[in-house]
Amino acid sequence: MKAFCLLNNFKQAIQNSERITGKQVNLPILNNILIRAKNDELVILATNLELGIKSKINTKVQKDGEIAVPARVLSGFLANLSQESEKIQLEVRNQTLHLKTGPHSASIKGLNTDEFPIIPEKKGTFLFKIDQFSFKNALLKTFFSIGMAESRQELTGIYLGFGEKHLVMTSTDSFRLTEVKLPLSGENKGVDYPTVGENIGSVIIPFSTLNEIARIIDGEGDKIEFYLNENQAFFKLGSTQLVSRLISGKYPDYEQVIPAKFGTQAVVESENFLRVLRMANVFSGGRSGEIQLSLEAEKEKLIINSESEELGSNQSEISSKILGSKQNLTLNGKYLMDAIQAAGSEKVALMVNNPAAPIGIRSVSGEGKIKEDFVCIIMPIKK
Amino acid sequence: MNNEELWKSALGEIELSISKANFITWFKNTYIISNSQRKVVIGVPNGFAKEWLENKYNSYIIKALRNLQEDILEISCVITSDTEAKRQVDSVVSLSADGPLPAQKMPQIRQNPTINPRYTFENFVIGGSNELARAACYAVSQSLGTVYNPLFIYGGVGLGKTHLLQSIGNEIIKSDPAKKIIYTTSEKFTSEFVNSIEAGRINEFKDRYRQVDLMIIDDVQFLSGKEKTQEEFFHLFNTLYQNNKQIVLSSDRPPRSIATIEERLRSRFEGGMIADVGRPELETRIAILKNKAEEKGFSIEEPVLNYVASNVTHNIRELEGALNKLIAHCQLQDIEPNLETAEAALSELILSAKKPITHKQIVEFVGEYFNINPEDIISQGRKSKVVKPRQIAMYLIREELSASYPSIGEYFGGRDHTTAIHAYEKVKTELKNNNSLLEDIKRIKTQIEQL
Repeated sequence: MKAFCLLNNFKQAIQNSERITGKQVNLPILNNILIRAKNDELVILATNLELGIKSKINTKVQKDGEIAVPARVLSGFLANLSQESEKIQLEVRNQTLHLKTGPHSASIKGLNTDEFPIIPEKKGTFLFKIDQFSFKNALLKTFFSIGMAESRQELTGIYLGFGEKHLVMTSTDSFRLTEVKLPLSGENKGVDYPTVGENIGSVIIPFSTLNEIARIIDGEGDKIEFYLNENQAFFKLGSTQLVSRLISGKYPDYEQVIPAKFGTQAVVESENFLRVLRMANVFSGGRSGEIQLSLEAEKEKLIINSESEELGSNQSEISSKILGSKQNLTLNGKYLMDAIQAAGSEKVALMVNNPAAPIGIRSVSGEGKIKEDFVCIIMPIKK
Repeated sequence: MNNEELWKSALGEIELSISKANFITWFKNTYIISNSQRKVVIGVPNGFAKEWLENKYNSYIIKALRNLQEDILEISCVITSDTEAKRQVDSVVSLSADGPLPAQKMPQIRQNPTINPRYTFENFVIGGSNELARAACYAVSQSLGTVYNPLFIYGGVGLGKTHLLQSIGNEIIKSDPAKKIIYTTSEKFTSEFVNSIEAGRINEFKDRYRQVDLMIIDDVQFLSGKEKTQEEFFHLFNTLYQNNKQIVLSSDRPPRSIATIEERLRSRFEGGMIADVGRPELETRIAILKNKAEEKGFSIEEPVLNYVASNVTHNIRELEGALNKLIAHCQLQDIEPNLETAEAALSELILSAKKPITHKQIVEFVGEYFNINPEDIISQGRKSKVVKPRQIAMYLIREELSASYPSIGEYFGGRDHTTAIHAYEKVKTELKNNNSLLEDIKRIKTQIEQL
């Protein structure tokens, strides 16, 4: 094999691939990245048997060929290059990959590609496509509340629901739940979308897959396409394609847990609220970080209290516009902070029914309207 | 040998031909899903295994299998999860053991798409509030057109009318599949009627409906005000009735309370059997909850069921909603349903149900019902058309709010408490004998609860 390509493209593809290589001992070839030069393009493949990635780069190919090289060695070499040259030259001689770019060169001992796994190809048309950055932002809002317990596999992934007007993304660790809705216009829905929406309804995608996708998204190609084939999900972003397993099992019927309406709504400035909560957290010690909140509707303020036997106590007040009746409740301070940060808006709305029912956090628009596209539901602590 | 043994032996042989690392990586968690017509389908845990087994190890697998079962020609792989594959293996085993399936076990293609197999007499919970209606429906299902014709079932929202009507349909499908059944709502009937006129297909419409053995129409109160449809319905009714074909109707109110309906239709409705479905009592509610929980595969203890049933009292749909909410909460937090969870899960529902009603609201409802200005009800006037509503209002305020007689008198324009007592006692006594009064009070009470 002999080929030339742009250094930046090559480096990007290798870095994306290196993260997905297998780190297990069972099949050593999984620690490698497969590089294949054919028909004026370079295809770069890596997999850990749960997730697979395929990147394509436009290349000047003088001679077709392929080789598998250890991911760590290759990425280590590329990471430390000075940016002096634009191009990189790849050549394979005697099962060794020779690289040359600018003042640097390297020879990496490779392996026969026969043993390298075959990465499944997507079939059919996309199920939906959506703007990459919107997708990434939505994902990032759900990551913090994913369940990590091995015992409940369904919660270790993100629920992706194919709604009529929205894509719904939900995550929960059974203590708090986050739901994000992304509007999906007609042109972004694939031909099969309505049928799949009705028959299958939703899938659960492993956290590791979506984490990788969030890292890879950089705007190239502008939209991300999603394909669903017999128990596998495919993501296409520009010239990169990922295939991932799906988590089997039924995601809990979480919609029932989200209260239909809230008796009391308090709008506060996020920065203020976070600062005060961090302060309160200092005093609540490690013990589940309990924080007492008082929503004083008439006085238009929120009073935050925390205390612990060993350390002492702390009280703060922040101004808040409150609709509805007075409320007193106890919450896990960390969960509350996570939710406010995920909402990502200047103001948030804290919505309560009573001290025993689930509370909600929603983001608030610039004009003061409570937005429906994000909600984090937290169970209060019973006193 | 069965599929499990076959695969085990084949794997033993394959293990010898490839490296240990490869064997463990690719063949772990694989099963034979099916083995028939010389083709073996293997369940694999992911897409990579599928590609690998189908492309690289194809020959190894076929060779190993053929050493044990000579006629195998090809293999293919399907991506499944562990549990799915195991379940499939089980069902496959039982299929091949029994040979061709006996007719009943084949999945039923619904013979009548308008009748939902979910609603049967077997899963209808009987209580004092609905036993008359249930008995009537059951009798009809055992003998169409002869016992109660027409059968008119009425009652409030979410109490089981449609369940009963559909049960009749399901019972007939079971006992006599040849019978023609049409189940529809009066709204669908109306729109079909209008469409068929526009399309010039009115005769098709008439023929379709007149050829049935059982006609069920849900929510006939919506026929009110639709003259042409009522006329068509009248002719249809007559044709069916004269040929002893069964007619079953449902509504949210008794025939005499349906406004703007032709007298001749009303009298025909009243000519048959009228049965009402009332709000279920506590025991019935508990039984319903138990039933539904079992259907969903959950066992919930008495005290929890009691709590839910005591606090959710309006109708069965609400009950089911509360149950779903409770189950969802438990599934999400991976805990057993207990009193505490029930309280948390349902607190939003219950609190919203206990909104305090005021004297003013009751008087307003009564005024609306009798078409009288609430001011007049409170005022001093003694015109007979105001007196009755006033007494009813006083009765209701006493019943619903447990207000003291002096306060009631005070509210109604400074009247004496004895006036209030008299009104209350009078209405109470009359209720025992006067059914139309009973109806009126019931309807107003429902409106109050739906606040």
